[in-house]
Amino acid sequence: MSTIKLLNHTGIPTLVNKTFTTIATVNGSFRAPYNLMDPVIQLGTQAYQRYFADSRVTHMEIDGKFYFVRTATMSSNALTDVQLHLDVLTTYKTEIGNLDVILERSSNSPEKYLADELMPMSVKKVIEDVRFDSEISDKYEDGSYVLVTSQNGYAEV
Amino acid sequence: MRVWLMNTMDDNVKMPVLMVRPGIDLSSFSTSGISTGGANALSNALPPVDTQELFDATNTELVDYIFNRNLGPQVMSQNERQIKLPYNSELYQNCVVAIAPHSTVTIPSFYGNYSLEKSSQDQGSPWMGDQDYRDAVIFRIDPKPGQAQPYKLMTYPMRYDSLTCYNVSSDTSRSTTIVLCRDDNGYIRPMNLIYNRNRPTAVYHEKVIVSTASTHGSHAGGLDQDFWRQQTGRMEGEEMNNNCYEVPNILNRYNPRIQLSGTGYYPLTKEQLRDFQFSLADKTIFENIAQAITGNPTDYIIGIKWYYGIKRNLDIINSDVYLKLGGFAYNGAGGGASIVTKPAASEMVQMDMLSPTIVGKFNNYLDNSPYTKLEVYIPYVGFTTLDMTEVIGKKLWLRYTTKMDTGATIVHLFKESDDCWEVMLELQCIMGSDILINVKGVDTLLSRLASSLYNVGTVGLGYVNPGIATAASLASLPSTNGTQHRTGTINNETGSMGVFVPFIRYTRPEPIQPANYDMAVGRPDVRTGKLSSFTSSAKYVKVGNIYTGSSLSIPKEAFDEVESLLRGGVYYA
Repeated sequence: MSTIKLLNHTGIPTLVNKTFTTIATVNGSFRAPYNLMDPVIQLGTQAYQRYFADSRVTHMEIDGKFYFVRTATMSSNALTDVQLHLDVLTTYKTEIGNLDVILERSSNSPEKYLADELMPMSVKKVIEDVRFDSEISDKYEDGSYVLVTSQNGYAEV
Repeated sequence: MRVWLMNTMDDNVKMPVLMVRPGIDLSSFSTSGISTGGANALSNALPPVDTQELFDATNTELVDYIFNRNLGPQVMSQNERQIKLPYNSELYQNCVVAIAPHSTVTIPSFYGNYSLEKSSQDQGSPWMGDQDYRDAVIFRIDPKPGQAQPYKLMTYPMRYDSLTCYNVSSDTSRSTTIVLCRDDNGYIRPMNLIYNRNRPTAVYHEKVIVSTASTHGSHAGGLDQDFWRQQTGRMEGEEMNNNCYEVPNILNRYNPRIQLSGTGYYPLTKEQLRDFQFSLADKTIFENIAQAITGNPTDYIIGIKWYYGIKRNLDIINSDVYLKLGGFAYNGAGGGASIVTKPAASEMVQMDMLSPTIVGKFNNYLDNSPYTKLEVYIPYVGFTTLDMTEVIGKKLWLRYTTKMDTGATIVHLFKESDDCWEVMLELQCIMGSDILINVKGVDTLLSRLASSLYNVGTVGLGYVNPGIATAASLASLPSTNGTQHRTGTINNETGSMGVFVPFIRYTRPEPIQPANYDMAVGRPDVRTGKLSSFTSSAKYVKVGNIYTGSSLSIPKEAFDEVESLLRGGVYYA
């Protein structure tokens, strides 16, 4: 027989550091045989009633592990099987934090110059022309005629 | 930062010039070694110098060298608006400093600091207020050791489009001219030099202004000049390090035609050219010319061209001569007009144009290729495509070098580098409008135009841009504001009818970023480390791989799910 905390979490399942609200504490026992990831907890009538009394129950904490509540199945008049799934992100959040990882994307990436292939791109283009600081003047006073001749030396004035 | 070797009047003497970028505070460099006492200060400050040693010196050492040895121009300023000039009181020194209007220059000297500011009591410059000439404010500082007022401030009316060279030293017999130039964008770099037989060399360029002189009094001909002579053979433009090829000064090259004096390059006004052309149609004059030559007078005309925009950049001999055709001088005799001009000192002329800094809009990868396309329109050449990644944050420098007899032009496109300009592209075109004087000239022109196909080349020193292969055959007007190009070739005739304004064309993407994109999808990241080191700030992480090698306290079946979830992306509150 285990102590079971009936929990509520309002966020998305892939949130690692979930914050729970405890709704009630009941007793129950795992139904053998059971496995780590998808155990079945068997609740007595009283506990089952508590479970059904509040539809906000999304998680159960049993023996230090956190489980998603999937579905409940009446197995007899007095017992109800509740199928669970281990919430690995919450249960092992400390261990997960210690993992050495290579990130692929993040919400605060400092890498501004990695191409983002997921960014939707319009087929439109924006064209901007910027002049150089100077140009070839088309005015007479800025240009010059140049006559190149064959000669026998310069004639100084 | 770089020391340039500048030409002087003496072909064998080069002068070191310090090149400084804007934003550098010269006062931060050490000048503690400046000698201010002792008659032998200069000598003591000039140890034997090995050229290679100088050029392998660090920036600080170079600055220290120039300041302490008093060997070069010591005043530079642009955006800093305040510059410092170390002064060795043992030296007679004349300096001409150009600073922007309303800016100041502080000169720490043996007598204390002097702040010079362009103000109304200075001799007025007639072009003050004219934005086109806003840099042409010249001060002359004339220190006289032992006097209460060692600096004499003067303003010289130097308008640099008038080709006026001026004597920057009060005593040319003791003067050594050092040339320093600066452009609007804060770069001090050598540009076209005006050779003046009677005066020290000065700098002339459209937007490069300064000239400065240093007189070394009793030490003239001494160690300082010996040092300069040691620089001989180290031409500016030589490779200075492994990463950068400096701007070659093509005008310094030997002019095989003009040096013979058998070919004259005469810049003429339209009135002068008209007189010349009319003379060929005047029977009397024509016969007089014919008597002074052998054959047909027009056979002595190698080329007549009109060049846009070159006047300020013409490298001329500051000596009046009569136009000569063969052995006939247009000196007013023989019925011909008197056509007096200053001949070109170089067969080539250069024009420079500087771009604004290539900027991004997004401040991320979208500013780079292939998302943002960058083209440069080059007058007489057309569009060329550059790799945005190569030039973002840098300026481009376009330099035309034209042979004035044929108009054959090489166009160098430089990009700004950390401490110099790098050659990016070497393009070809023909500039100038032919002035036709007979049908033979027309035939020649048409023949040349028909076969004018301009190749786009690259130099081995920079990188080869794959996008330029067809760019030279494209032309467009900036007003089209689109990417439609007019195909065909550009030659000197059509180029003269084309756009004269070089410009940069950015073609940018238009990303459509969904709301909360960073949280919902995230942005590419490549950081590695403990996941917890990122999740203190990141609300969303998507892991590419887990490479932990330490003992894992998660059961295998749970770890498989953890890995799957992390690869799909998880959130932190």
